[in-house]
Amino acid sequence: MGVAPKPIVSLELGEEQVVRVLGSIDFICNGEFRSVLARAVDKGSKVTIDLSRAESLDSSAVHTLSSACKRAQALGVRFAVTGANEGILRVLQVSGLATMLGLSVLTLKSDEPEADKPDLRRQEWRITESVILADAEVIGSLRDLGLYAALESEIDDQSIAEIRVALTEALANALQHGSPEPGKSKIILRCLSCPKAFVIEVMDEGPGISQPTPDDSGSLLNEAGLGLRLMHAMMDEVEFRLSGNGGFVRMLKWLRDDYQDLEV
Amino acid sequence: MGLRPRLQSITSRLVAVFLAAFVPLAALQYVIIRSYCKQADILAARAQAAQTRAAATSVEFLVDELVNSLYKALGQIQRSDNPEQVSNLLQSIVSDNHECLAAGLIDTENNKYYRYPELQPGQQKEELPPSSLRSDESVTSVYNLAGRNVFTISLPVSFDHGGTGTIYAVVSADAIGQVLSSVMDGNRSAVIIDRNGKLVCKSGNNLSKSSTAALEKASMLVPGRIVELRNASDYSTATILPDFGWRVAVISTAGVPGPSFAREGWYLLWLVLVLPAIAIYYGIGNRIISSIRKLSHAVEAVTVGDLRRRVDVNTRDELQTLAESFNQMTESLEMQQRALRFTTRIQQSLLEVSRTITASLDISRVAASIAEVLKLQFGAVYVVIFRLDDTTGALEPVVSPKINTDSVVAAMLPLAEHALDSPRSLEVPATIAYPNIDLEGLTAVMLPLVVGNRPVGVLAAVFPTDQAGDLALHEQIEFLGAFASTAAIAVHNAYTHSRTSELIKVMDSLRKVDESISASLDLKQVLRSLVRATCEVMEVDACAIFLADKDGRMKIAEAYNLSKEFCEKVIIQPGERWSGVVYQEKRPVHRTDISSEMDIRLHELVKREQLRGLISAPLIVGEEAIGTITVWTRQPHNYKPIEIDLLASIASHAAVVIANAKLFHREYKIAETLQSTLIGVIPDRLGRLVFGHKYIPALDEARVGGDLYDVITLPNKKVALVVADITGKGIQAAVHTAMVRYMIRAFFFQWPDSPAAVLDLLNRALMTYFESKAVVTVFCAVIDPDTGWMTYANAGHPPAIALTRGGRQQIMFYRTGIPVGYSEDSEYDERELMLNPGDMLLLYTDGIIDAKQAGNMLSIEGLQDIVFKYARVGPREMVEKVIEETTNFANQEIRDDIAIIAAALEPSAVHNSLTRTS
Repeated sequence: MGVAPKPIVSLELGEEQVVRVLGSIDFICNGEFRSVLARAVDKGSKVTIDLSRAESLDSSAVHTLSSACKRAQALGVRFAVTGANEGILRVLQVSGLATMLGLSVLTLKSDEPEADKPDLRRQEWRITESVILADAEVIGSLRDLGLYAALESEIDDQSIAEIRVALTEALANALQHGSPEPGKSKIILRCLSCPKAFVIEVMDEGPGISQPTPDDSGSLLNEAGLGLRLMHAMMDEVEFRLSGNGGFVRMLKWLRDDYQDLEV
Repeated sequence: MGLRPRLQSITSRLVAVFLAAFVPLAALQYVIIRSYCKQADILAARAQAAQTRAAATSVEFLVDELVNSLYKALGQIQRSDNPEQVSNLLQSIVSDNHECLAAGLIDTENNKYYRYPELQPGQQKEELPPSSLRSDESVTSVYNLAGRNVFTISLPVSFDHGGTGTIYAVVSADAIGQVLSSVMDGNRSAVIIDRNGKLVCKSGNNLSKSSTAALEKASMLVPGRIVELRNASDYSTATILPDFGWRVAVISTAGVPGPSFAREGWYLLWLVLVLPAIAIYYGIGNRIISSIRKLSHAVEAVTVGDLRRRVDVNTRDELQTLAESFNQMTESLEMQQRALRFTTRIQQSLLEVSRTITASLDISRVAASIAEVLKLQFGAVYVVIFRLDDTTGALEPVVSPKINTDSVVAAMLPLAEHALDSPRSLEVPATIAYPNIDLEGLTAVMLPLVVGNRPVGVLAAVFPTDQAGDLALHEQIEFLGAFASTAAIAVHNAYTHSRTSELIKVMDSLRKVDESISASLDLKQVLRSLVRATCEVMEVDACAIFLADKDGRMKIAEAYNLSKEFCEKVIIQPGERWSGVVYQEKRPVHRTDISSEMDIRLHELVKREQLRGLISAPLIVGEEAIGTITVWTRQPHNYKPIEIDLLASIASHAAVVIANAKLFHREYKIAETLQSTLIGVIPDRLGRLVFGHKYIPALDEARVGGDLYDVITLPNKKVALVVADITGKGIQAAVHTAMVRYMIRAFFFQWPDSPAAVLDLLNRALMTYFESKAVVTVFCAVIDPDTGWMTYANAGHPPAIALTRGGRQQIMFYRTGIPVGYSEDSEYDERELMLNPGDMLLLYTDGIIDAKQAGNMLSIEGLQDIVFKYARVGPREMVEKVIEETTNFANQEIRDDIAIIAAALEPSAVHNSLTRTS
């Protein structure tokens, strides 16, 4: 009957109260998390929740975090969350806490605000997500859903057309190269939209694509290479990597005319 | 030729012969004598060094022995907070070491002070050096106590009950002085100075100030190396004791060795003047040479470790004296070395045993290693360790390694039993005791293993009687005794450990019982597990829990292995034997045989159940007894203290568990009633919509949670589906849940087409009425059963899932706003989607996706996999399957509430199968 190490550590750095989460917060230790947060909010003028060593938070922990955030706002205490990993960000995003705390759900290069690009961190993202079993019949329905998301976002026709091409190519690529078991492999499409940008993410179970360069002329000759070039051409930022158990592609398009001059 | 020339020629020849033969001889003699003087110097220096080493070793032994007995006591003191036991232990330190004046224990944390003998009024308290931080490091300090030099040896203690302290022994420095005197010969004296330059002790009084001063300055001493400190008036050698930093010096008052011209000159003179006696002289020279050769060979032998060498010199001069003193020295060295070898052996053995204790708490392994040590270090042929069984009082062999063990064990057992009764080690000539087995020439030694005053077993070892060891067997027995005391602790620790692990098992089973309460939510179930677990752990025949009503009358609430009649008929008044007595006096009672106690009112019943041995312990909550837990054996049984303690600890745990279960039972009843009104009645079907649903309350906190779902038929013939999660648990959350449920219903009647408007109203209502006490995540959707058109809004709830495209696609409905009750400024969007016939909508709460397996959450992806797996089943079955898979994933331990509702749209003749594209 071992005693689990304490998952929550609180520190005091002058006026700032730091609550560091180690490991996972779930139903069992949520009570302690609640009381530690309450103490920190009552004591400090600034509270930072350091999640850089946290593994996961369940919904009860997210509830606790949002209650603490709410209480901090009422008391005029600055409340920040740092270092959340992708899984935790996702949970925070589901509940809306990520937006309240100004955390980004994207880990794009554009995540860190650059001087000439809008800050995407405090955007309220609208999420459209769907998962299919890799199948040529259903892939069209997935594309329709993505387009529907773009249409909902009131994007100009030119951009819609470009998104349509990029989306089609990305999904075709996932179906052809990212689905080792047709009818069983999963393809996930997630569209995120906000007034500043439209993001398409496609996850499959394939080996992923090494980051191709647009001027890789050799790949022009085959169809797949053409698809990648099209995606680069149609969207402003394209990123390929491995994520979870498969390939991952994320494409971003800046919206509104004031940012169209970014892409030359 | 005439006589004269012949005489002349003889004279000149004699002169020539003399010159040719004796002058070189004389020169040779001179060289030999010089070398003899040098040899003598070297010998003197070696003797001096040997004395120094002997002095250092003897002091080291003495202090080591003290430290060892401190360690021995320490092991027991750490576990004990019984003052009587502590003072017994301290007393044993003093009585074991006759140099020891007093021993003491300081419990720094609790500010307690023990000392043996107790401090007399006005007597000075010991000055202790600052305690060492390392538990294996002893600290010494020297001070003056009533005119006598004494020193303390102290060890830091960390108690098992928490806190730290110091244990120490006070030793008279005179005792060390005496030890030093005993190893010094007449011409030398010794002195010890501690690391602060304080004089610890000295042997003899003829010390010059200058040598002490030299010693104080001798800061470059290295442990183990003998350093010479010469000055004009005397000659001394010194070394340092590594463990204490004490400097030990031996000062020679016999004079400074070195080239002695007087001596050399005398021989020279002798050589020159007594030429006529050259022949005699020649003889002496030969004897000197042979004596010196003998001595130098002996010295060489000693330097390579042969301490048995003696020198036989009969020159009746300094050489003979030197040889005698050399013989004395080697003899004393030999004695020292023997003692050293044995002490080292003992220490090694003890070390080995203690290493085994830490390495293993398995009793058979500990015993095996004790046997190993006895064989390797003491030359035992057979070793048998008997452990005294607490309950039966019988001796059981623990381990009997190597050959023909059974016959040896059988032979040893009667002796061991005899030894157990006798207070001292018992030595029996084996040949007399065992004519039937071949133990010719062997001697059996029985060592009772005693911890505190309690025998725990017997260590039986068989040795060759004419053992060619260094010491005779009877000398070994002393050492074996010391060894046995350590072995006893080892065996006892291992045994206690096995009992402790049993206790841990009890606690574990109680914990399991504890868990089963929340699982079953049933007091009866708790009690049932409790009586069964108690019977198993205590190894008794029957167990019952008596619970008192408000008048104190006790009835059997649950029993194990007792007849129904007994359970129903036995009602015990307060003060009635025995449970009534236990209940009233709030203390455990144990009886060896209750069947003989004829005056018990329920005697007939007891007799019919054949109940004999009894222990009963009170169930106490706070100050109040709520009942008793009683166990019986069906044979007379003399309960040991450990069994009584065991039942008492079960009782104390059980009392809390029962009290909790009672309290819980009450709250659960209330909350359950509330909850049942919350879930309400979900129709099986509304138009083309078919429903499946399930709600499972949380197991863990044993409370009713804040999950809710609802299906509402709206005035516009549409159907609203709601799933929500309200923060908090227990009755308050249940009340909030009820309020939220009926508010949502009311708002939907006002805004039957707009889930976003409903969430907006709900948010404002919660911000106003709930005073920020609850945050609610809600998913709500309005579906037109005729067209499949769905409008939804999601306030921070986990995404609902639409299963579409013949089970090949899932669409997730993520949030369109933040949780309700969080901020007055919250805004909610609504989104739309067309459900096709055959599509299914799945709404759930976080209990599903938070289900954990080895730290991993099921997560939304895991749920998606489950939904794909059962894509072709109906809504009712889908709900069952999702719960089944989730529960399996979490190894049956779902800790949060689970609420899940599935709605499927049945196909109809006319439908529009296109997903709407705005």
